[in-house]
Amino acid sequence: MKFLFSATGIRTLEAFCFSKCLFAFDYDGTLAKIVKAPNDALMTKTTENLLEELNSKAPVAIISGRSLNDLKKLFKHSIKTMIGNHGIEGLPNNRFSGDAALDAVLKWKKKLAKLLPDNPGIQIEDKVFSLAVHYRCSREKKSAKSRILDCAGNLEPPPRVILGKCVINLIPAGAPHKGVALMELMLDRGLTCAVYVGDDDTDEDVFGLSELRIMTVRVGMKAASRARFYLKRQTDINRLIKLIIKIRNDIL
Amino acid sequence: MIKQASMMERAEYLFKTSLNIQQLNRRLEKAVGLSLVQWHVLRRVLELPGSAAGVLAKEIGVHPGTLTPLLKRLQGKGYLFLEPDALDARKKTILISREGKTKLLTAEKKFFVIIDECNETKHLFL
Repeated sequence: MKFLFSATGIRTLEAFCFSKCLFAFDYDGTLAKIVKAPNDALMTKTTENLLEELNSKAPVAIISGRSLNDLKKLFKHSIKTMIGNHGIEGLPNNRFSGDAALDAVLKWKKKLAKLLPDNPGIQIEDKVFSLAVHYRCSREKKSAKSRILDCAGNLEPPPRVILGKCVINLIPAGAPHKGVALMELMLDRGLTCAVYVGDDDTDEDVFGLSELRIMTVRVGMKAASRARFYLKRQTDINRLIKLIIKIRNDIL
Repeated sequence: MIKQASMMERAEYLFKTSLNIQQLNRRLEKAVGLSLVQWHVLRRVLELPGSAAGVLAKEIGVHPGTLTPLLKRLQGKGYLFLEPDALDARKKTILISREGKTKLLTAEKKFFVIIDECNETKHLFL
């Protein structure tokens, strides 16, 4: 992993900005800080303004684990391209059967309600096409995590389990993931390359694509990540968006 | 069956075309600093940032061995750079530099005028 604001990182970013490039961002932990209650995770006014400015100059997409309805509330009309539920919602030409996912999520929710009754600090978020089990507010995070994972192992049909920051995502097996979503968006818009910024394990679906035409950026350095570049902290997102806008203004 | 005379005419035509393209390339390099092939490679590098040499060669339709000296020449001029992949240093990715992008922007207008003039006098295109 290389630091994005190094000479190499900036030169690479420039080369991507010169082309027909899609700028895609995850939401929680990337555009907004991670907070205890997911509903309180909001972008700063500066990030919001910068993102709007970038959106007026270049194709921008939000690819998040949140439900599409949630994203629509957050972005109102500012960003047109939004993919929710880790790639399940909002995809152009989506061939994934939503009915099967709805069915599976309902079953999991009922079963988890039985298996994790009134557990303080554990919160099940129903995102319609997937579930997110949060344990950020739990006093004993380690045991909460292993408890949730145990329960997830007993679910039918077996979900795809993706670990996040104090959250365990349960996603219908075979559903499109963030990597598929990004590639589909590029294809749909006729864009030859993309810059993707994310912070979580769910973003590894994009980072792990063996596609050199996607510049992958992780918020926070992590040696095991497949992302090529990293930002030191979430607040660096403003500097990154500013830089992208500057490069595009300079040359185009 | 094509008659021998007709075949000779075609071969002559190809030879003249080849000469004309060589002349055009020399003129372009002198006036703009980019030959026709160099311009095409640089355009593809711009459109496909981060590609590996093999992928780029396939896109352009040349053998990777043919592409290497072209890339070196453009790299020498500072128009593109080769960067080791952050995940696998054995892989080199090819990227356009700021100078390369500026060159394309400033050169293309003149570039197309010269090609057009050449076509009018030498009838390069059928």
